[in-house]
Amino acid sequence: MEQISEDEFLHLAHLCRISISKKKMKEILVEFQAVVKYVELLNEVDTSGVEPCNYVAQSHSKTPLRDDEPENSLDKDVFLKGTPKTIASLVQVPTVLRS
Amino acid sequence: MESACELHRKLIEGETSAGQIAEQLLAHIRRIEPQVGAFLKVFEESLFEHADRLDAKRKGGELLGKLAGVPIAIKDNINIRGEKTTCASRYLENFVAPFDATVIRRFREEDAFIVGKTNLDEFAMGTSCEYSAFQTTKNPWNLDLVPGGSSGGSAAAVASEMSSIALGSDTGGSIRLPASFCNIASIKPTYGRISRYGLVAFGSSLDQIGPMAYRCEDLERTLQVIGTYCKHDSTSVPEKDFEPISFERRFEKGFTVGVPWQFIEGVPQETKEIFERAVKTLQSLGARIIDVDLSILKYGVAVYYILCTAEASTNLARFDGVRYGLRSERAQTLDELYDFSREEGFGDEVKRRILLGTFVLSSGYQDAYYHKAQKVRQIVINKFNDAFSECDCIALPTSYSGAFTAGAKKDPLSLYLEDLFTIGANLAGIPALALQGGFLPDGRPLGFQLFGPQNHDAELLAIGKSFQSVTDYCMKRPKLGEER
Repeated sequence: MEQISEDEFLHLAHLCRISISKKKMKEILVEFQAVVKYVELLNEVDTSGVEPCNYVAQSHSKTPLRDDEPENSLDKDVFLKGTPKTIASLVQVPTVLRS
Repeated sequence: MESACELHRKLIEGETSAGQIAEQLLAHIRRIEPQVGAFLKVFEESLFEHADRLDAKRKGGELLGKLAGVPIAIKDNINIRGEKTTCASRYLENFVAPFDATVIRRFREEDAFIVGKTNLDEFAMGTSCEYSAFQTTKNPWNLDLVPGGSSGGSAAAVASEMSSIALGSDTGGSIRLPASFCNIASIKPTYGRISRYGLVAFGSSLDQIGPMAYRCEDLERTLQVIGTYCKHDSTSVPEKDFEPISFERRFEKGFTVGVPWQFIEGVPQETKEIFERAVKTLQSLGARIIDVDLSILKYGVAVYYILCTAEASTNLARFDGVRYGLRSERAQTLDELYDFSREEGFGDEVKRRILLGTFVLSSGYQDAYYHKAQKVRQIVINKFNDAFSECDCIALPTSYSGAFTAGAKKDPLSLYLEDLFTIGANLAGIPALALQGGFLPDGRPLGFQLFGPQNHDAELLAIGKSFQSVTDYCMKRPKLGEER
């Protein structure tokens, strides 16, 4: 694979929703390139005719859905205790639409 | 400290009380913990409350649970209701779990003592426990060395006898590598054997909770308690699919052990010597040793770092600064809220893995990386199936060498390669038992592992018990504190 440019890497960071400073980005990019180069080792393996692995456990050959029975879920107020900002049992976020 | 089973027996038979166990344990933790740093939190108060309840129960003639009085430490990526679950991340520094993981519910039902939460690499991503955002944990055998990771706090707590048993989670070797570095045993069960409900997800097709202890009997007792079907985990495997655990069962003559000699060719001579001695011990117990071909495992690390990062990038998308955990104070817009909260909350290794995972899943690269890795994973599974058609279990070293000095490995790739021998079991979803193999000439412990076919966890433990009955490594303890 061709080297990933700094602009491409910044775009990737944006897709991940991680803000990275230019200085940090340069450092991480070097390590990132080394790992990508290493995983390309897989190109040596002939995978023609091989189906990708979707289920790991042998017991999962059937769709493992449980019976659809109603049960009590977590209390909303208990759950919202961990939420950084709330207004009257609702999660508060910064303004999305501005006039 | 006695084994968990012995401690339990003493309590049941009235040779000790729960209060005495709690008192002695806390005194020991106060002496040892400042040197080791295994815990992010010790539940001092609740331990005594629990002990009082247990003693009252015993006096009242009530039946005590299967783990009554047994101290168990919990890796801090498993939820305990009302306690923090930090995953050793700034992002979750103040997150209090609103519910119990299934494993914790089972421990409560069987009267176990939950000692505290142990340190880990942030979100279980690491092999040395150095990526914790809060503290470094030291190897109790030599405080200059790392305990291994990511379940390094759990391993150090058990090795220094601050807990009889600890739970860790194993995505690519995270309970077995630290077991090897700290001279304890651990089992990563068959994928689906222990419920992951309440475990913070990292690589969902690879993650499995597993117990750590000095003795296989204790691993067995724990697996019996927590290895039950759970409807809240859609990958939980029904118990009828498993061989039941038998406490009396030992290694039976006529077992065949496969060794992938070619794959392990490059290990250092001193690692090879310890491994070969373990194989000879299995032979002396009546095992037939055969050569098996698992050369495909040389691609294991590459497959793993594509799949686990892809799954991690998806799983960690939930940490968005909105619903729980850290919210950046700098953020003015919703976009900034996402970006800044994740920037401030995650450490470098977590960011590296999210970036790699997003990259291998991105359009244009998905076929070349993610789908390719899924296909090689299937080949790995097929090769294990071929090997298990000829043998009952497979023996491998756990690590290339013993624990390394803290700070010695800075390059991420060199740390990733520490998992070379452990990853295969996660890719194939098979059980893997890590056992003590002995000590290197400089005194560092070194373990080895046994892999079995899916759902044959009980067989591995039977072999482990036999192995431990003719070797004395599981009786050795590190010298720490003033009391020794």
